[in-house]
Amino acid sequence: MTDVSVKELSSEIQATIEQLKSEQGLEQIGIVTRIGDGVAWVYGLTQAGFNEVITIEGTDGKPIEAFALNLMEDEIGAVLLGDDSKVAAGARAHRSGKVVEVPVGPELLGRVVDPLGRPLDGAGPIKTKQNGLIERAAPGVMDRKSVHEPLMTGLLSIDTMIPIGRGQRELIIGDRQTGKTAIALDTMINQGRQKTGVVNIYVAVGQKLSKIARLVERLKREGVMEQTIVIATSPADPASLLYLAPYAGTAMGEYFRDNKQHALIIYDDLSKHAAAYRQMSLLLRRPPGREAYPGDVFYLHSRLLERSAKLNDKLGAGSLTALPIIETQAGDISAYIPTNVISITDGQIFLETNLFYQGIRPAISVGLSVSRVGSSAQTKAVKSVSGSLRLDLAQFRELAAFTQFSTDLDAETKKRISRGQRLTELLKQPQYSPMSIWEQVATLLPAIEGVFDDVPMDKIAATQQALLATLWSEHKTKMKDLSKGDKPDDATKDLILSEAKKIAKGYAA
Amino acid sequence: MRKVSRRRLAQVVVSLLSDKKVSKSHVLQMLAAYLIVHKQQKHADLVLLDIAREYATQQGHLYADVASAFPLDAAARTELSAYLQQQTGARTIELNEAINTSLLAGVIVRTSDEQLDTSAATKLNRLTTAHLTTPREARGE
Repeated sequence: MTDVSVKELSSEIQATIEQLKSEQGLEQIGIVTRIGDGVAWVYGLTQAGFNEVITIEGTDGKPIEAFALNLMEDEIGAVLLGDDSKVAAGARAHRSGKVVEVPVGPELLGRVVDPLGRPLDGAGPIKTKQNGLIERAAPGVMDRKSVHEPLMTGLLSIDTMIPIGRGQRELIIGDRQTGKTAIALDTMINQGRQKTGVVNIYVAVGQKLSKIARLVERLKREGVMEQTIVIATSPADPASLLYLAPYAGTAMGEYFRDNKQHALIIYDDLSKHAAAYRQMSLLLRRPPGREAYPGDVFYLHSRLLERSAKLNDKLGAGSLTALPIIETQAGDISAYIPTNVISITDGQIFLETNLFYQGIRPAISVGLSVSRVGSSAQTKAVKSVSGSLRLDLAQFRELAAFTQFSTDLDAETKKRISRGQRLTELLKQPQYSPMSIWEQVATLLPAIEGVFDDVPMDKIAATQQALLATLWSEHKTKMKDLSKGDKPDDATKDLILSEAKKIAKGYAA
Repeated sequence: MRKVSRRRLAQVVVSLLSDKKVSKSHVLQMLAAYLIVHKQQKHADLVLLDIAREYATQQGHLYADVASAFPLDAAARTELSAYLQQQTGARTIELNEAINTSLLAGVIVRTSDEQLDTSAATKLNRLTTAHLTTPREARGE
């Protein structure tokens, strides 16, 4: 052990001793009357506040923390943050005088923590300079600025048709196994690849630990973990921790938002979060409502997502972008929680099982997906090529049913179908391969200009790859300029189209 | 019948106890009967704590359990009573003393709903929890 660490340890224990001295005084105490399923009912503590942390003496002498949620005349209902088997009826409870807080700051980057900020990755203790409140009011109207900077996901279909801006809340919704987490993961990877400086916060709510481990491993391999915080909860954790996880992640994200930085937070997923809150509410004997969720389940998510915002220049112009994930059952987006979150967010990316199994991945349903504020944040370069894309695809979908009668169709309809099929093919994108701005422009521009119309469907991907490789090897400077996001000039457009024509000719049937 | 809160029950019992026209034993009998009828026998100790707190509020008489590692001398007793009077606003203080050597040093004073813990055992326990346990141990794993 070095000299420095000995001094640090010594001063730390000294500070704790000083703190112990100041804590001395008459304090309110309560008595646990009932305990079970992670909920403790405490007699006394009449002055405890809502969400206040309560310390209960465990059977092994160690304190166990809980937070007060039900404040009633004779007793309070508190949800335990630890193991309820270590608390017995008759145990004494103490007020802490503070609401739940988590450590926040850059020290958390690269770490995997639980919802209370305790490390889970075995990489040593985390010493932050600040703590953040788990429950905090969202920025007011005058503190905000409209969303105007892009948050590139690197996914062609999203950045072109459903663009996301910094400070936006965009829901990712779909059935199980449709690639919801994959979209979130690719977006995080893209922040590293494009060196956007956006901090990633991934909140796993009741996810399998094996899945989280795989995700962390991937983030490390992609070199993005240094700008990422992972908040992990597993199905084995108490419902209280699952409930706190998104709020803890938001508190960590707010640190960056309030310090002139940009952060992206992914809640994976809010369906499990609502289920955890339902469990807690039912155990606290709150009256059940629709689908047995409590009456305030809308407020549960609205107060959480409202904290993601783009701040005005006076407050540093930082932003917190949220990508909440919701899992639907059999594609039913009209269920209680999906409709709630759809109405709270600024748009949704809807993933369809059918598309996924047809090999269209990401399986985004263009018709049902929308971004309500992101188009004003889209880069000019991407905007210049994506203007008619949605329309072309919508027309293609209408005509797609007629593809089986292709021999009876007129030339114009055939052309539209052929264009739509090629566009759909181009929008397919493998996982872990986000595209930069120039790649998106260079892929779409020839397609919407009809350069790929004569290329057979099975050679579209190869043509695209060949075009990108040629442009990068022969016109690197121009492509780098294009990646700055400005609208491509005519010379650049002509260059891309001429290269595309040459390559398409080689692959044409 | 609407359930009456324990606090309301305690207020009524204390006001009856201070009424000289009603005998104290009759009040206690009424209370016992009430608890039996409303199947609240297991809450009897909590009701008594509520009554003690209400009694301190209404009558200004505070009853406190004092546990100490060594017997209290007269000076310590006076100092403790003065402290409790100042903190709670009670006019009279009644201390019920007990020796508990496991406290090592200091005292623990408990009223119906408040506590003053200056024991060395608690301080050592807090230090242990804060510095000598790993996060996994703190979570009880």
